[in-house]
Amino acid sequence: MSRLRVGLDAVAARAVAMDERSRIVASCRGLPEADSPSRLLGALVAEGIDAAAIDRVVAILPEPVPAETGARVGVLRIGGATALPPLVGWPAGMSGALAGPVAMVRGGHEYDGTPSAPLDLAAVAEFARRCAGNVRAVALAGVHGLENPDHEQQAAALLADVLGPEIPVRKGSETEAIGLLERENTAALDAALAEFARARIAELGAAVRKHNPEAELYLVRGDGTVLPELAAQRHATACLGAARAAMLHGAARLAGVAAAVVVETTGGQTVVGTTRGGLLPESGAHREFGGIRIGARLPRLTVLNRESSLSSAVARARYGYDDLPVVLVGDRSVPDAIRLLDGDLAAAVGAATAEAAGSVDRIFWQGTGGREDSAARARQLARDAAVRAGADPRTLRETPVKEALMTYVPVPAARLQATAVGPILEPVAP
Amino acid sequence: MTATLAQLLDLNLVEHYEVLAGESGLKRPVGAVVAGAAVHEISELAPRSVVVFGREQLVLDDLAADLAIRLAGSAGLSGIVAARTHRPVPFATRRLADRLALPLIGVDDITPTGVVTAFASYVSAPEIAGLRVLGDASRRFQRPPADANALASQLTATLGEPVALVDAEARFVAGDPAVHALFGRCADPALLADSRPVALTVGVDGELMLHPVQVVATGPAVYWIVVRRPRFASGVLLEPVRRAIAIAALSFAVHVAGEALRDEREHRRRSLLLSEILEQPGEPGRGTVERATALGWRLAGRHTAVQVQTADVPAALRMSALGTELEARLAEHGIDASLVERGDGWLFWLTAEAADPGPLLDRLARTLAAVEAEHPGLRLCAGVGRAHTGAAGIGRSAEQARRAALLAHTSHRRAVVEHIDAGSARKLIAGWYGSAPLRGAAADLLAPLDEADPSGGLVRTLRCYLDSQSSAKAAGVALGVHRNTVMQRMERIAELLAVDLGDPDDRLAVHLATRAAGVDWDESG
Repeated sequence: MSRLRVGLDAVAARAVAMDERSRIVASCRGLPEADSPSRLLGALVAEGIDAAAIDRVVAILPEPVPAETGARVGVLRIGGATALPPLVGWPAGMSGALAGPVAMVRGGHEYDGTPSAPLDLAAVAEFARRCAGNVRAVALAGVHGLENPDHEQQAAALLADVLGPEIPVRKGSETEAIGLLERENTAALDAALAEFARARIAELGAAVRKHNPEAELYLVRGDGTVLPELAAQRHATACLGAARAAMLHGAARLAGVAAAVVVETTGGQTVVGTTRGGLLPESGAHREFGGIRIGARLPRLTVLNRESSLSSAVARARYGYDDLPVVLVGDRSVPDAIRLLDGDLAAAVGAATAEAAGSVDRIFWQGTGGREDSAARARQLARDAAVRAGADPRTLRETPVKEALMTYVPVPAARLQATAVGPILEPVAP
Repeated sequence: MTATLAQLLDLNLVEHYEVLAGESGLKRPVGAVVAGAAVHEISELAPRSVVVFGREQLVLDDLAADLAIRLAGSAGLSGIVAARTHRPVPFATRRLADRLALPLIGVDDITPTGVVTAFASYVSAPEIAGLRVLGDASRRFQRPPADANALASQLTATLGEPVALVDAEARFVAGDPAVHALFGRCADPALLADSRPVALTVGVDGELMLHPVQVVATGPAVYWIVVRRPRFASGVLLEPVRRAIAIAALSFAVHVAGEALRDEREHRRRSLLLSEILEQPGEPGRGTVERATALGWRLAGRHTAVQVQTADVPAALRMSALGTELEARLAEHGIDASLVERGDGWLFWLTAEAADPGPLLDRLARTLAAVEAEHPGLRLCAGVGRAHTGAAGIGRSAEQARRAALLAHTSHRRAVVEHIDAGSARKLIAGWYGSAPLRGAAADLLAPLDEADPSGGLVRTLRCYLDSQSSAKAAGVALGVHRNTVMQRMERIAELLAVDLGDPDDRLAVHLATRAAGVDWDESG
């Protein structure tokens, strides 16, 4: 009997069940905004699929409105006293709704991971006392926290001790981003949304296990790959943009091609994007959430009016791969394009067939090992991240390591970017 | 044949371990046990390996644990052994290991090489563990255990599992009562009564192993050894465990046989001496008196003899063991007696007892009832003679006790004790029963009934009917059948018998014959 993967697109209220050979076994269409994800799942199972055969459910949940769903959060900065203080760039509405106590304490690390100053634990404790009873979550970020998360971990442990296990603590080093502010903002928003995300994902998780206790729940990330249930509860911002990313992947898979330029037309707007090798090319720009810049990067997309011409946008989206097919979702017409019959299911299919990926994007100080060593470390980090996200280590694919030399630092250093992506590790046969 | 991780752990080669997660994977075969240098090397290990990490290489409550589990799951490993931490392993980590069926074993501070060394030989040849168990068993049971408790404790030490010893009626004798209780829940005690007992495995998953203790190779089991099956006892290790238990059973059988031999020898000595005393005309010789005194017997004084008789004996019961038990029970009820085996029973005598035999009869009856209650299917009766003086008096009282015991035997009830002085009418009957030719004639008289109904049902009905003063209703109540059934059987009996039950003489003869029927008479006296 074939094992099933379920894709749940709770934004458009579409659900599909697909077998191991990525054929749609069942699908269902609900009412957007009226049907909850668990109701959608129930409706799909009611289509007559065997719930016990469901291996995993991959879901796209509607994006939260931070000022409404977020909780008040305390923010701690470790080191980085010369940078802008935390939360200063936030729009007034967001900081008014979410900002709690803010503190900057001594500590942090150098680019090579050595401490630049000892962590001021007394100041961390003082910050914890200010937070107690005032906030529902805490975020912290340290300078060069990716290179050495030691101070962040110490501070997080102290905060957890004072505030208790009920108050979520999010660390900047959990986000792969070069900028301290982006890591800090991501941690702050993840913390603010922690309670909301946990409640929402746990509810869906319970619904999934009611159908099959063995099934796993994943959420779709902003790049169209998956995040395991518990990790998704920790990183609500990672799932921003999931619906569009899943649609891009799903459209190509529905068309039966591995790479494609996807053109989606909804209402008066047309979006052109690209999917290649299970990944969406990045634009380099950071994603914004409620006007706040976070660590995740946006995929390269072109948004057009209904009236504007498509051909140049499609040509640009090919990046020189002239034989890349064009897949159409919606009612626009493009010459030589593949038109999908079930275009509305594209995001759900993208979720059901999503892979797991991990990326690294940081500055590597080229110490004794040289460039090769740094590249090997970057690849290993990317592979580890992909495996943690659920990928099968045996079938991982890697992108070439992208390297940008840093000429403005006094030591040989390079910014390295690498991504590993691959199918999700299947559970052992029962 | 390869070992599983569950077997390796159950061998207690590593102390203080804990299965933290992934229990369903414990049955996977283990191809090798290797010390892991780094988490990333897991991908390069051979499938079925168990990798052992020290505290420096892997911390179980760290993110690295998730990575290690995922890598091991995809590489087809059979388990991860790592140092235990004081913090609990996160739920997500345990769930991951469960889902991948990858056992995660926490151990106390022990170096990875220590674990690898402990497991290595058993992984390459699981038979070694079997040899270890067998060697241990043959060493421990080289000499028969001193008693049942020693057997249980030594076997427990060999197998690492609780052991109970039960008798052929599934009663607890020694060891762990919990095992006995488990046996009661998961097996039918009737299994143990098999006349050709063999080693058994019972329970839902075969959790109990049973082995008979036989004193005679082809005879019934006198005891059974019940062992909770060690979890490692599967596959290639099942047979060595079975044999270890067999060694213990054999060794304990030697102990039981030795005990029985001692009992028998003692009883024979007593029987011989009693014959000398009873058969010697006049006063016994000096040698006889000395031997009797050595046994604590009193020849002078007024003696009251008691003959205890078995009416029905279950097959698994040994007479010498029953005699020893009777002696102990009599002592419990305040009768200090030294039993001598005689015919189908035992004789003993009490010296200078009070003239009134009433209390003695009462105690005897209670003793017999107590012994009967211990052994289902056993029926005992006893006769008590009158008090007589001197060594010759023993013989006289013994003869009376024997006749009284015969009377008791005829009553077909449980734990009956008759006194020879019960009444002159009884004496008359006892004299009649004592005559072999008369009994033969009685048997001939009832022969047609036995032929028609070998189960003895007709004889029983006839006897009960006559006992009930020819009342079909009373007989029906006593037999537990309807009055009409009794009437029908009586009509059949009247047809079968060559006598007229309306005739008083015929009726008396038939009544006597039914009371004598089914009693195995001792002709020696």
